[in-house]
Amino acid sequence: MPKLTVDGRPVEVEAGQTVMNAAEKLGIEIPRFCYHSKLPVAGNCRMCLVEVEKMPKLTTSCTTPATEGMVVLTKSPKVKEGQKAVLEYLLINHPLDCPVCDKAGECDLQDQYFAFSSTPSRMIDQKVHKPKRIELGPTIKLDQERCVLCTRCVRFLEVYAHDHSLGTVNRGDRAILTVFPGRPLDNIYSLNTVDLCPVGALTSKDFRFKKRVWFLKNADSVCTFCSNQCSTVVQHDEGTIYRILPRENEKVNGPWMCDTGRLEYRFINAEERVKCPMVRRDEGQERTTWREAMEAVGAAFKAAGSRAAGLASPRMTNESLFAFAKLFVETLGSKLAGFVKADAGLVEGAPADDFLIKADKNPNTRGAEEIFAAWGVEVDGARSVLEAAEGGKLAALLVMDQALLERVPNRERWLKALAKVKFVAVASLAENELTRLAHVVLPLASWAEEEGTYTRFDGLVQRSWRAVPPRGEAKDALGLLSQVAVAAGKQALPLVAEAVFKALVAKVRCFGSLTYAAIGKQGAKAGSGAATHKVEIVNLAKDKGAGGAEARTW
Amino acid sequence: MDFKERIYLWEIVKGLWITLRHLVYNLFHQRSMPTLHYPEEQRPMPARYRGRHRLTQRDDGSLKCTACMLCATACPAKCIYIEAQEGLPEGTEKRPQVYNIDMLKCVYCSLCVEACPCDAIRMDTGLMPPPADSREKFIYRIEELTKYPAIKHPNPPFLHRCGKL
Amino acid sequence: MTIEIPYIAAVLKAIAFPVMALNMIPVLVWIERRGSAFIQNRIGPNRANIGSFTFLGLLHPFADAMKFMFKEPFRPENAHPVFYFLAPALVVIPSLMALAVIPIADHVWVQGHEISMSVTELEYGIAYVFAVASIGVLGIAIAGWASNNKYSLLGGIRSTAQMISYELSLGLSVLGVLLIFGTLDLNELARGQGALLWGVLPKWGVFLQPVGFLLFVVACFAEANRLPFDLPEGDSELVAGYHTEYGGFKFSMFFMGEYVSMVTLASLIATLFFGGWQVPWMTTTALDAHLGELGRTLSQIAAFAVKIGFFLWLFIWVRWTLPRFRYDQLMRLGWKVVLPLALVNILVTALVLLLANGF
Repeated sequence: MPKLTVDGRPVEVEAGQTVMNAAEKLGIEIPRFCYHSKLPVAGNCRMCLVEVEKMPKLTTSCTTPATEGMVVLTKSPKVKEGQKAVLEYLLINHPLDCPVCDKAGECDLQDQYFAFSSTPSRMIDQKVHKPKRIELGPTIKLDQERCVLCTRCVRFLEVYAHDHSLGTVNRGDRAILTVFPGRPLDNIYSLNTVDLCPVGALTSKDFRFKKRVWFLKNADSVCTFCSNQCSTVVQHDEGTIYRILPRENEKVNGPWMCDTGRLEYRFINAEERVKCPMVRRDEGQERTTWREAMEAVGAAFKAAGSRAAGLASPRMTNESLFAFAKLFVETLGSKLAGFVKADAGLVEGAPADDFLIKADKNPNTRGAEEIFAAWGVEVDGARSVLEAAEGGKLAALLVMDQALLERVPNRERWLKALAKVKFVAVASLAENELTRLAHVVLPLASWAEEEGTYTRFDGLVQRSWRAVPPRGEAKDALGLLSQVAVAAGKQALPLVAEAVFKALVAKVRCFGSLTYAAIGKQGAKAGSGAATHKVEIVNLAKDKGAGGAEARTW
Repeated sequence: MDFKERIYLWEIVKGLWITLRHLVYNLFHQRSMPTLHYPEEQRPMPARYRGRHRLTQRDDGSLKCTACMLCATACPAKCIYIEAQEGLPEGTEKRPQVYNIDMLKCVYCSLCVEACPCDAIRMDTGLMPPPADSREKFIYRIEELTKYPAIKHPNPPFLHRCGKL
Repeated sequence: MTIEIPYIAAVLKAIAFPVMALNMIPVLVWIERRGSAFIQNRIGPNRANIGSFTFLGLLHPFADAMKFMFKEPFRPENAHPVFYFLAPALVVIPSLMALAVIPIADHVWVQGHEISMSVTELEYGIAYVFAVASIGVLGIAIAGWASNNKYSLLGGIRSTAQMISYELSLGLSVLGVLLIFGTLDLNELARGQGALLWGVLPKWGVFLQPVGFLLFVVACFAEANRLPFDLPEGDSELVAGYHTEYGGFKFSMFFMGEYVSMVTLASLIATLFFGGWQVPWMTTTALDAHLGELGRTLSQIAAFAVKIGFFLWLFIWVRWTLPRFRYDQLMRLGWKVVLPLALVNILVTALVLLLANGF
């Protein structure tokens, strides 16, 4: 355990840690380009120079191991001179096309120039020009002029994605980042290199030129594309989502995220969204008002009584699932509710790997199982619904799962069964085969348009904030379910996610005593939540309701 | 306020006397009133008058604008709307697909001109936006913004500042 | 079939008086616009023309009238379907009706029939004027309410409060004059003011009742909703108040109502305090002797015209001189200054009369 002083402050770090780590421990910020805490150290950008007593030259703090008795200065005049010089060198051939560069506004080089240099260039010769706008692959464009050759992208791909397609070639001012000829960078994690790039050398083709970053507003969210539930930031402006970035969360995804999840926002902005309720008349479906649609729904559910059934979706938030179960079990008095569990082979999406992507493409399967069990809905509720429908026993059915037909293995059987149900209401984001079957289609808000929590496969409960208002006349699941309850002549359900979550925690024992405050931005597990809360330890093995509980680790 | 002011009547008489004086004076000195008979008589524009915006073009007719959105960022009225697109292979990397200025929102501050790093937007047409009968027509697109040439100022502001004029 | 002269005269007067009053409106509008312009060092509207003749801008009111008439008479959503249209009529009709008893000259004799120079001569003329004028406030209040607009409603409420407050003072401030002349008939009142006071001054109400005159003028301004008492409109606060939602001909009716009531009130001031149709120092008999009956009547009409002309100008002049009162100032002035002074004035007048005439 070497002890050293950084800027006059003593600090003790573990053996093998670097000077950079020691400074970080003290909260001293050292500028860097190539260093990244999650990547192997390269030490090639020289930006993190520090002065160490008894060392003749400035040294890079990211590569220098901390040793006993070291005296480190990070802000001495000599260090400042060094940083200035390094920046001057980095900028010698930098094209300075910030106005057309997508990175401008979140560029490390830009920020650090203003923080540590701010001196005009002394370069009087022609800059070295290199190819720009190179297609690296389906997702990324490369600008070799802007590249500062930090090799963060190269190291990321090698270490995490096991992809060796990127590399640097040549030497001196002719050094470039490139791929092998005819071997494009085609990796499901490729867009992480764009985040990593400290300059605008690698740009995402999807986001390219769509928006200047300083216009974007952030909303913390959770990726709902697979059960890994990466923490994300949804960046939006004026009601439109422009991109999704990973949010650092050690318990889930670190700072990484897969490309599929990043591009998931497209269907939220899509023009094909169901924007207003639709009712089936003699000739196809007609647009209508919420009032009329809810009148139809209400009439059907009133008439159905206990012959009403519902199908939830494992993509819904815990709050919506709770409200859904409450609506059917408590309000409508029907035990016929369920959801179709994930069937890995049937859902489109990237195959599971050992890094971030999981086989189960539904974010909240575990939450749904736990909540439905607590309400006494049988584990295989969907099968009962199917059988009741086949027997012609169903008078009204509410489907919250827009991807139902894509997810079930026995599609034909479901189609036949649904045709026998007197009244089918489908809450959906987009028009598809299922909505065309429905008597009433209700526009549903997407995950970025509603607030709620999701339970990860390992039991971590994560919170997602609303980023943009719902498109058109869409309503979030809580509002929609409450409307159904009111239309059926029952009491309205609570609409505020936090209130629903409180009720949920009181009812569902698996959630321990979690609160929104305890979940925070990083998520929390029931039982391991915040120490300030009294935690009721739930023995899951004895909890019969939660199917497959023994497979989990807490 | 003393009693004379509080009673207000005397003050009213004083006020009436003032307005009457103006009235009578102006009745007999109509020419000396500062009003201009607008369409026939026009006040000359000041030397540094800013007219409608103009998007400048290169010699080949393409827009100088690179859609960097610095004008839209600088705009205090948020009247500039730009959609960027991939540039032509021989031109800049980025170019505007849509460049709209909402003249109803514009406050003619010329901060966009100042913000532009490419001299792509100027306010030197010397034109005022003509009236239109719909909001839509006040949104000027690239065509309107490149339609009118620059005017030469009788006394260019720059020279004026240098003391050469 | 012979038609009696008095009937012909009644019909003619009933047509001529409103037409005269309405014809004064464009002139007043013109004076208001050009006058205010000159007061404010502007030129004012002078563009409307026929051929190349602009008549000093006199055509603008006519152009306005044409525009008003051809505008679409629409009703705002949720405005009351009946009252919204009724309100302008309720403003303009009472102000025209009030003019009916104003005499513009002494009686004339046509073929042995004595004919009054007002539309009708009522024994209780002044009471009739006040009764009819107070209907006008209904029009404004209804307009404010029926428009279904918060500014209009506020304007209507303000107007109601203001009218009620100042109507009281209006009535009380003339009581002094009425006591002195002992009549409610306006023609009699005018005739009573023909005598001379101490052989020098005409025996006008203003000399006998200076306080009553001041109070009456103040109350008149408030009744006419003219500055400094234009709170019901309050352009800068209430965006035109009760007529925010009115346009086209309906708006012009409010406009007409305002100017006609200005004419009415100016005539009232002239009749009550400035001898009405009396030519100063010349009685009807004297004039008859010098000028003949026609000349006498014409000179009396001219005298009356000059008098009301001055007060109409005063209305305009004050409007472009004084700022609008604040609402609390308006109420304080009405209830705590004008009303008590009017009461004291009546008391003093009555006492003096009592003493002078001997119990």
